Amino acid sequence: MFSINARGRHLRKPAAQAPPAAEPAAPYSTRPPSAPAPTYPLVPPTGPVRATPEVARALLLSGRQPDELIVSGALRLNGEPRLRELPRFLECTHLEVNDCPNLELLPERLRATSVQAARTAVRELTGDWLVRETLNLSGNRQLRRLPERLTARALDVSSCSLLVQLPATIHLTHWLEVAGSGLTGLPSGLRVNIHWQGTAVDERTAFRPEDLKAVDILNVRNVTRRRVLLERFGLDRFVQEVGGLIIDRDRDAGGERQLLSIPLEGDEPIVALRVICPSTAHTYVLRVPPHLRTCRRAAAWLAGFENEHDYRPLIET
Amino acid sequence: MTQSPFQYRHGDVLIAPVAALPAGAVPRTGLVLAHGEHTGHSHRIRESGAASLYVYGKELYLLVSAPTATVVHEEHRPIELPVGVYRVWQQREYTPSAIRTVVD
Repeated sequence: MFSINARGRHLRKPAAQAPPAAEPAAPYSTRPPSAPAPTYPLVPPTGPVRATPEVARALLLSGRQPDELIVSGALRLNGEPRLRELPRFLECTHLEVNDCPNLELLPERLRATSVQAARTAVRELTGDWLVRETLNLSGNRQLRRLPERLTARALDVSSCSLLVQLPATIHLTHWLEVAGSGLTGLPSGLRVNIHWQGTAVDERTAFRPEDLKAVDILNVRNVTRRRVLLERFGLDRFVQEVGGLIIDRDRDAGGERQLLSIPLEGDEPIVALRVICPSTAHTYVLRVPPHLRTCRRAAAWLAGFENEHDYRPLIET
Repeated sequence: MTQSPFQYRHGDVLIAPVAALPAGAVPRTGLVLAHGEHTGHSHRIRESGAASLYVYGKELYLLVSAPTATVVHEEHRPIELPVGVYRVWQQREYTPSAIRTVVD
C-alpha cells in the first residue's frame, strides 16, 4: 500500500505496517479504557531520528529517509544525483546540497548554521527556515518562492531568474545578493545591504538601472563598483550617452563599423566594436580587450580568434 | 585545431566546416544551435531530418546529411549550409573580470 506524503509529490510506503496494538495504544487513545480495542492498526509515535553525518548521508541517499532528522554535524551531499528530497524537518550544522540536479523538495522546517543549496531542481520553498549564517540559493533557475518564515544572516539568490519577490516577513541582518535574480525590489520592512556580484550597490542600481545616468557612472571612483554600474546600465546605452574616441573604422556586411575607446580614470579603458547587424540594421556595441586597435582584430577576437587572419566570414547575416 | 578556411556568421552564432566529427562525439537531440536568452528566439536548422547535432566536451558539432540545410532565426536572414560537418560556437565578449559568451 502506498500513500502520498504530506508534500504531495512523492509516493512513499507508510511508516510502519500493523505494529502490535497494545504497546502504543495508551498515550494516543482518546477512548475510555473500557472501550473496545480499535480495529485499525495504530502507528507508533516516532520522534526525530538522530544521526551522525555519515549515517544521515547513507539514509538520505538510500531514499528511506525519516520525516524528522537531527544531524550531529555537517551534511554534505553536493553533486549527488540520487538525492531527490530532504526530510520535512531537518537540523544540522552545515547543509551542502549544491549541484544536486534532481533535488526538488527541501525541508519545511530547517535549522542550520549555513546552507549551500545552489543549482538544484527546487521550485518552491515553504515553511520555517532559520539559518544562522549564509543561505546560498544561487542558480536555482526554477525557484519561484521562498519560505514564509525565513531568517538568515545573508542570502544569495543570484541567477534565480524566476524569483520575483521575497516573503514580506523575511528577516536578513547582513546582505542580500541579487545579481541576475527576478527581484524588482525589497519588501517594505526589509533593510539590508544589497549586493550585485559581491559588490554593494544601492536599490536603484540593483532594481532600477534605467534611472542611472552615464555621468554618474563616470564619476564613481571605485573601479569595481563602476564596473557593476556599467554592467547594470548597459554598454550600448553608455556608449550612446558618452560617445568615445573612434580609433579605427572600416566596413563589413552591415555597413560601417567603428572601434571606440572610452578612457576611465583609474581603470583600463573601455574598447568596444560598434557594428550594424546586416539582417536587423540594429547597432550593437561589444566590448573587446583594451589592447586591440583595429576593427578587423576586434571582430576576429569576438568570433573567437586571436589572429585576425583566421577569421574569414564567408556569409554574415 | 586547424582553422577552417572560412566561417559563416549568423548573428552571434559562428559556424565553420571541419574535416570530420571528433571520435566520441555524442548525439544531441533537437536542431537548435543556440537559444536567445531574452528574446526566446533561437538559431536552428529549419529542415528536420536534414541535419543532426553532436556534442564533444563543451563543443557543438552539426552534421548536415541532406544536400543543404538552412540555419534560420526570427531576426536574421537564413544561411544555407551544404552537406558536411561543422563546428558551431557563439561570439564572445570581454569584461575586465571574465570573457563571456554573447547572449542575445
